[in-house]
Amino acid sequence: MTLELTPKQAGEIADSTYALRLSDNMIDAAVGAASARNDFEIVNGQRLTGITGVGPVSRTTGFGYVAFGKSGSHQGECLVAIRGTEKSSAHDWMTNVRMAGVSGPGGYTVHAGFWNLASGLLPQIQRTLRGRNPSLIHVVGHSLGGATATLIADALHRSSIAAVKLYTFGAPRAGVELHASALTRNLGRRNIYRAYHHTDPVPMVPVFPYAHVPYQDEACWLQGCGKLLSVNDHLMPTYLSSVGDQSWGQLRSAQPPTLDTFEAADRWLAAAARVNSIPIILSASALRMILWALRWILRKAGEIIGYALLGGATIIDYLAKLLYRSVLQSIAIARAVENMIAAILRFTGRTLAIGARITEAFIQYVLELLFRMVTAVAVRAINQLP
Amino acid sequence: MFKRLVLSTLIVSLTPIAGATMGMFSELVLFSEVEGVVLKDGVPVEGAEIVQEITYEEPSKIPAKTVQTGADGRFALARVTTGAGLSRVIPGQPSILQRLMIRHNGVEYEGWRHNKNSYELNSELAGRSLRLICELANAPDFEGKHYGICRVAPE
Repeated sequence: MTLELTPKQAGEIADSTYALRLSDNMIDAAVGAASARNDFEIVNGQRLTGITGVGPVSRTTGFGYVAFGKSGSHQGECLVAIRGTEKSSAHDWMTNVRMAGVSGPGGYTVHAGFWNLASGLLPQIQRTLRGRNPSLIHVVGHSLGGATATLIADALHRSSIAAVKLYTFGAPRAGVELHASALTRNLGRRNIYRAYHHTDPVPMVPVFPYAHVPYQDEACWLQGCGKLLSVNDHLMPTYLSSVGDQSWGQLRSAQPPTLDTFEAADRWLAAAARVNSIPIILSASALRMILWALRWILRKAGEIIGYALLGGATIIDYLAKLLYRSVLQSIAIARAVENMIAAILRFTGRTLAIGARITEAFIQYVLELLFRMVTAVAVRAINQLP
Repeated sequence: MFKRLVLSTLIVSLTPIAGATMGMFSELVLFSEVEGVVLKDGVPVEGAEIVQEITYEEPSKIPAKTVQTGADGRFALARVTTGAGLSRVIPGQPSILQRLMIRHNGVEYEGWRHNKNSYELNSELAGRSLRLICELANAPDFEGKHYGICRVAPE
């Protein structure tokens, strides 16, 4: 029987990777992973490196490590831990420019930046695994490192080296819905441990059509410190404090309120759009609901219009086009889109003028407003990482 | 003037985000104050050199500091801080590599290694003061979230 890492072990492992950015001594990683170093040979682990920066300021830094299980409960197993990326590249990766995606593991569309980093680390990981034949590989990451870990887990599973378990904390989405669905099926829903605070902005990006693994699963939803989006709630010390000594089963038992149908999304939007309804400015729960509602509207729009390939347009261009065309064809979608626009404007502290015309350009403006705000907060959270 | 306007706009726009202004004007603690004693087989060691190294940005901007133990083997290191500054408007997750090396009779001992992941005072030991007993006869080893020959003194 294979043993999963505990939330505390996985969290400390994710946290421990940051020490390797400035240190090439594996002891510095092992000190942070106090609950895991008795199970894994972290001190004798293989530091993974990558190039950060461009041109004359580029340099090689540590991006994580590979360590093997000691005799005991994790003997014969392997640990792959990935840290988040340099802050200088975070903005690029989280913005619309790079959201278009590339062909990743299995030919599915995944985020270009995360796949680029994963592709650089995979040969080092595979070299380290050569001749070891582990029975199980635990892949762990926080923040952008969690998204990269997701793609590494996918590639390792596809290479049939070993069974794979994936653990992420505050990770953004790594691939589009088809990818998330396939990866969930391949790894098995119960082998994916995704923890996130409801107030952490980073897991909210990139937006649709990107999706989290496990697909269509709330995973381990953790209550953030307050009601607003919080950069502190993205950081590993906060995650470690939230998971404490709980088990994954305990963490999975908390389920957030959600919108499980288009009609539910429609009702929530109608209420949120009203000027005198509940205050939703920068509310993390409201943002979550808006993004859920957007997903349902896009699904409905896709059923009516059909999804075209993303092509060269930015995702926001594409979403605005899709929404506008469906607004013209469906009264239900038109009403939902108008309410969604009003809700988004209220979330950003604005008001929808009475009688405003819903045009493609206006939808695009409002979506950009929302995505820019979420991305800005997410980038700010990532910029706090070492 | 323009710069000031941009900065004030930035701060105002950040204010609604939870925690944005917390710690804005406070110090960031890179290494909490340390009180320790160096022993050799239980006997206080006089004149041992304690070298404190901190790496938290590259290239490291914190010069190494050296103190010597007194006749009773004791040493003390003041806390090392840096100003919060505008670049630290939002409290974040640091990674501060701490190291104490002990030099005695031409031998260098690994006293303390720790990755401090918070700017809070005494976060090294989850709120406890850093009081260390460094026995030169010890082999360096892990204790909690630090490594070296120094052990945390009982409370």
